[in-house]
Amino acid sequence: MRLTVLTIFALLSQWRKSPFQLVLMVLSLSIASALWSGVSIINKQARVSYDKAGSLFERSKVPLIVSSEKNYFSDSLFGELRTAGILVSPLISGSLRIATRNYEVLGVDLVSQKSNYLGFLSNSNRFLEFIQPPYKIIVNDLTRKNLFQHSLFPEIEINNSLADDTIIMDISAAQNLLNKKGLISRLELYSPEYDVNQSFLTKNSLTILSSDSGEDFEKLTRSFHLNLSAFGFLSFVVGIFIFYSAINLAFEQKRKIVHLLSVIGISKSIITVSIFTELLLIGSIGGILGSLLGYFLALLLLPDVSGTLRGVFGVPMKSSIVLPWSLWLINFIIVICGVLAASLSYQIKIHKAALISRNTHNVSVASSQKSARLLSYIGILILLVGFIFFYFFSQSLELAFSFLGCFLIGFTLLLPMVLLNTITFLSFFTRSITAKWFFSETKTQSHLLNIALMAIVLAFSINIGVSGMVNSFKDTFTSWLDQRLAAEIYLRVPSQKYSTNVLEFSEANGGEVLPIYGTNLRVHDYPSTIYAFKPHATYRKHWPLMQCLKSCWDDIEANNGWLINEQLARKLNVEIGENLVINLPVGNLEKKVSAIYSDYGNPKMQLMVPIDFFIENYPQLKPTTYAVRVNKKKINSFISAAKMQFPFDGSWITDQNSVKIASLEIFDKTFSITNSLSILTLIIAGLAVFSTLVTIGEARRSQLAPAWAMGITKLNLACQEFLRSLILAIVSIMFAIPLGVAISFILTKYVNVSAFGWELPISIHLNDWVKLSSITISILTISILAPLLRNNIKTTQSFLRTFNNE
Amino acid sequence: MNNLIHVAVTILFMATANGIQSKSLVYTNEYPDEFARVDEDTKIVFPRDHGDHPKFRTEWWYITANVEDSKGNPFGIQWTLFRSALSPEVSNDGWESNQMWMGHSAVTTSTFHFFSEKFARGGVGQAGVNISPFKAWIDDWSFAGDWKDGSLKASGDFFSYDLTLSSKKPIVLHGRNGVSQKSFEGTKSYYYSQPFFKIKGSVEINGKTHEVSGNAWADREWSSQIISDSQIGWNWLGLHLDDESKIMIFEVKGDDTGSFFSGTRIYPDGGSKALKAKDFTLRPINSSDLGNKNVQLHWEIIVPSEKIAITISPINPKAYMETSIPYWEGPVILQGSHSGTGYLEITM
Amino acid sequence: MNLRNILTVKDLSKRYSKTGSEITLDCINLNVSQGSTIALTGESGSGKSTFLNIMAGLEPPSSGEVFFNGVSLWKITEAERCKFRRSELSIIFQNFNLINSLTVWENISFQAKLSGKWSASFAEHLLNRTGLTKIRNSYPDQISGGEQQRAAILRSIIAKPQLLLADEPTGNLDDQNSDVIIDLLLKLVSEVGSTLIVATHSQSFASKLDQTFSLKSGKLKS
Repeated sequence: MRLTVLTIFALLSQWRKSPFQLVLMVLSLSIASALWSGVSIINKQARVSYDKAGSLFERSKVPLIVSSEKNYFSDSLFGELRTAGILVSPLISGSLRIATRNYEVLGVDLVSQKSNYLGFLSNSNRFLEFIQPPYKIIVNDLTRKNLFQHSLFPEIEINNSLADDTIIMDISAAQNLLNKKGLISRLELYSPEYDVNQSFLTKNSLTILSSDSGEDFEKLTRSFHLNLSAFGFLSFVVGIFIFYSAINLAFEQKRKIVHLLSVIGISKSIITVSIFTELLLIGSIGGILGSLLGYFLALLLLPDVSGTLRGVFGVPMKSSIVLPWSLWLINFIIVICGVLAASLSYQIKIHKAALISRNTHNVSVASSQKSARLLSYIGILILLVGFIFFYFFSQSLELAFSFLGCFLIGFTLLLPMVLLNTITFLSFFTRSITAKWFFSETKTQSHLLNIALMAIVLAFSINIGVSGMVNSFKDTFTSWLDQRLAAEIYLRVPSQKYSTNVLEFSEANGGEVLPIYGTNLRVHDYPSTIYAFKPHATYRKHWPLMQCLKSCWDDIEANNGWLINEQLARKLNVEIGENLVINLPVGNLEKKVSAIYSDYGNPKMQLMVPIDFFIENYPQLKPTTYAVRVNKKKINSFISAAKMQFPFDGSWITDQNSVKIASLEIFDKTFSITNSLSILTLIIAGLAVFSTLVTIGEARRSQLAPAWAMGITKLNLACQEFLRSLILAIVSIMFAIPLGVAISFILTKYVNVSAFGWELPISIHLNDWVKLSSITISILTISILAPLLRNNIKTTQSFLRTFNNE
Repeated sequence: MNNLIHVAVTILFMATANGIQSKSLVYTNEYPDEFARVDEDTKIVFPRDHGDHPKFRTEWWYITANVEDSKGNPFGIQWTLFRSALSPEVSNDGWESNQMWMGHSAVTTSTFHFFSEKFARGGVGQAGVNISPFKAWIDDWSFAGDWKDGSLKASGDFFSYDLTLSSKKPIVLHGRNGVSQKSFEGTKSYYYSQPFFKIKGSVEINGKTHEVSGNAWADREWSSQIISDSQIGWNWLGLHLDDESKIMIFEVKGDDTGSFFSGTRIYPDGGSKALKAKDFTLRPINSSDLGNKNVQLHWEIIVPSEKIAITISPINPKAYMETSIPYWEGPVILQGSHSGTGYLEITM
Repeated sequence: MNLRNILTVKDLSKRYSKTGSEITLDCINLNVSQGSTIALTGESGSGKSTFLNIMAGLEPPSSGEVFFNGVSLWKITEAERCKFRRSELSIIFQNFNLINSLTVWENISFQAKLSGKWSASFAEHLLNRTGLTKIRNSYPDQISGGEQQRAAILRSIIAKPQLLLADEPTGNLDDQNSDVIIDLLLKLVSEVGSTLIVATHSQSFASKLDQTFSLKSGKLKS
């Protein structure tokens, strides 16, 4: 034991001499795990929100009103909603610790509750026992056994349809027990959603969770979370890459110490254990730092993420983070596993080298070619696997991402071979010995820089790919918005009873009013929405139809054909002209699909029907939102007149421009997250290059020492090194560009379609490539230059050491 | 709401209204007599007594109205808010409150009868009565104003109404200074009315809106034991005669003993005279039109001293309140020495 | 034999400031005439390598001067010193004399081509003589230590330097290989007419050279 401790100290002493290397390794691990843990925090946070929607005693079949900010809100809002005519019933839930057990307490108000899931009260006595002290509770058999004769609950009734450790009681008792007097968790909403005054919700930070939200949230946002996870994972991989290259390059120094230790008489097993422990230590520090960084990163990104989720998907998400410690632990374990995996070959080499002392740092040309070839074979294999995924993927999001991943990694693994061949090709054009030497040294450098360069290729191509997709999106979306938002003014009345007044006002002021309203509908058991539209020239002229049968609008308005969005067409796999049966309140209707319109950004499927037909199906619904067409010059006067006439709260009336800006903002938010992550990965890759160059610095100098001895100036040598790295970097970037384009293509045509159900046309922005290339090359130039800017004397000493050692 | 709870709560109301105390109601076993009692020496004071009296077991705010639309079609309107105390302790605020509230509303025409029922717990803002400004409400139903000018709103699945009330005449106290005896055993309640309301506004039935106007009658009553153990229900009539005078008559039926009769004759200036059993007769008239529940809907009232001899008949015999505990309540017309309109209530 | 001095060392001192006032070389004076072969002996750590490094222009002295063909080596710029090393000087170490990414042939031509004194025929001739033809296309890590040093010597000689410095060239080799290297070195040096200074702790090696100096406590003695 003592020997092991001493050995570990000896090993750690290496870092005292070169602390910078250690810092680099820990830093790379921290940043890698920071992005990964940051993303998993965000994803977990979202999942908690979805669970809130579904974590009812019974999956909620009615919409819920919850706070968008906190877990509990004032129960006075119950009374306010009821007196406004909205039928709601309060629930409070929370965790209660009794003895050593946690129980889930659910407090209900049986009087306002609509559902009959308990169905146990059959006379007034039992009802009174429930709502009056000492408050009878309902539990199942097992829970009753656990609560046996607890003083808190003298009256217990059994209902075995309840889950374990769940206690149902009156809301008053629950509030007291949970120490949440005056608070409730949620309100079940029995009135139609549109009856609830929007400004009331906003003022009280409330939001409505639609009834099928629980599981549908998961479905809808899956792609979003997958996106985030993919980035987190990528960063993690790149970080581990850096660690891998760093630890292997530090091997040389370690080897000397290890050799010495074994010569002294420390056994192989102690050395192996000590190495392992040292790695664990480094991994732990990196992991802990990374988790902390990840937490702050999540805090930073969370507002954007919740904005996206709220805006695009209608999902409420808290902006504050609640973290179970299990998340920290899992992240930590993942980092340790990554570290151990990355250092596996290193540990094996050390184990072998314990007795044999041989300088393995000087890479031979032959061996570098061998390894490059090996990597490219593996790369081709992975590409093949990827194409198999592709062949089978048909709309599965996970398979599409897997294909993307395989394509990315497989292609990247071809880089070493490509670099070697490019250098060989370039050296054909040289005559002088120095040029020849330049290129042969470049090959050596390339082998040592392989991993860092592959990280650059990964990060860069993803940046190109994602920015390509984002640009296509922005282009298409902007022009699509122009089509969708064809009306000049949009307004929303706070309640149906004002509809008539506003309509009359609009028409009196020269506006043509088009109602906008709809409701949820299940089409072939998928969550969809159905909207009414008033037949009007506006739609014929502007509606963004992707495909349209001859005289489609005539058919649609005459109720002889369906008008559906792209998502619905893709999901149900129907084309123009095909027959489609949809179940509506008036019955099962079969019509042909007359037209399909593009509906970017909408995660749901949608169909539109003429307003008369809509009213037939939903006579009780009345619109509260309207589009108004007025003469462009009259927009402002209309809006100010309307605002004076109707003193409604909030921005109930807006013009087309404002709506467009708001819509674009939401999408900017969505992609800003991806953008930030992209740039971060690029920086990490730059760090990879930097750390690699620093680590191999000493070895490189020993390679260059003979040349210096022969009379080549240090400046010359430094410039050569710089040029070598730069050439390698530039070739890598050029290699990455077509990869990036391919990724952009795959993302837009396959991944996006799988995730969202809509497809964008691809547009190429060359100046984006130029911008990204310049950024990357700048990052790389700094990464390459920095290690070369060493003290002159130090370099000389380094060279001399080479000759005078051994 | 859960039907079973419906039943449970209403039994509660009816039970407390009838003074029935179930042995398994844990709290009342211990304090059977601790609810407040009606005391003849306590004067009724306004506006304080428009509000609720939580220490009394039962209470209500009861408005009925007889109106007509522009074509002369008759409508009957009912708006009722009941309060029941579950225990005699001082009520806490919030969900721990021991007060329960129930609302009934209805609209009756010769062809339609629509009603609605609501329940609420007290102390949480869902239902209650405010004294100043005066408002009695449950959910979005409300009777508000100051008892001189006010509003009346309610709605159900197929109907809604939004009416205004006004009266310049004083409030009428029944019995002796507002203490109204209900049984031979001496059970009583505090009871006052405002029968002189003029009401108008809009009533919507089945999607059609009608502008109506007419007379309305507001009853206020509270007690901890209204009828005695030997009594089983009552018949109540509140009538608007065509000379702007009013009359209130009730008969509380006993199972073995005879019925207890009482009433109030109200004059157009607001003055009133108590009617004892010997002062009038209330007699059911044979009629083939009994509805399907054997409920007596045709009556004859004779008050010799007031020279009143009228017959009562319902506008719509099917005005059953199919609420958790059903009863019959609907608009009636008077014929005979006087004509007019009014409301009949029969508990079964 | 009136040969001019190719190398003159005047009052050369070297101190390592890190260790305080430890003096490695203390006021050394030396005159080396062209074409002579000199052995520099001393124990390990006596400063032989440091002395050679300073003469080669690799490491600066703390005080004193080194004149090479009349030029004070440490009063010129680094670039000019490098020029000297390319064309007039050659230095062989114990190891790491070859560039690992170049073949043997490329290695031996490297310095000569740098200084423009390359002669392919001369190189071929020497390659044959030293028996290295078979490995001309091999890389340094593929040949033995002895072969590496022979190649190193070739590289130096083919560049036809005026002065050849060698720091323990046989330090890593066994006796048999050492003798081969020593003989090769001496023969080639005399053929090309270079001046040779060798740092060695081998007395037998030193005895084959014209003069012997020893370094002790930083002072040079003959």
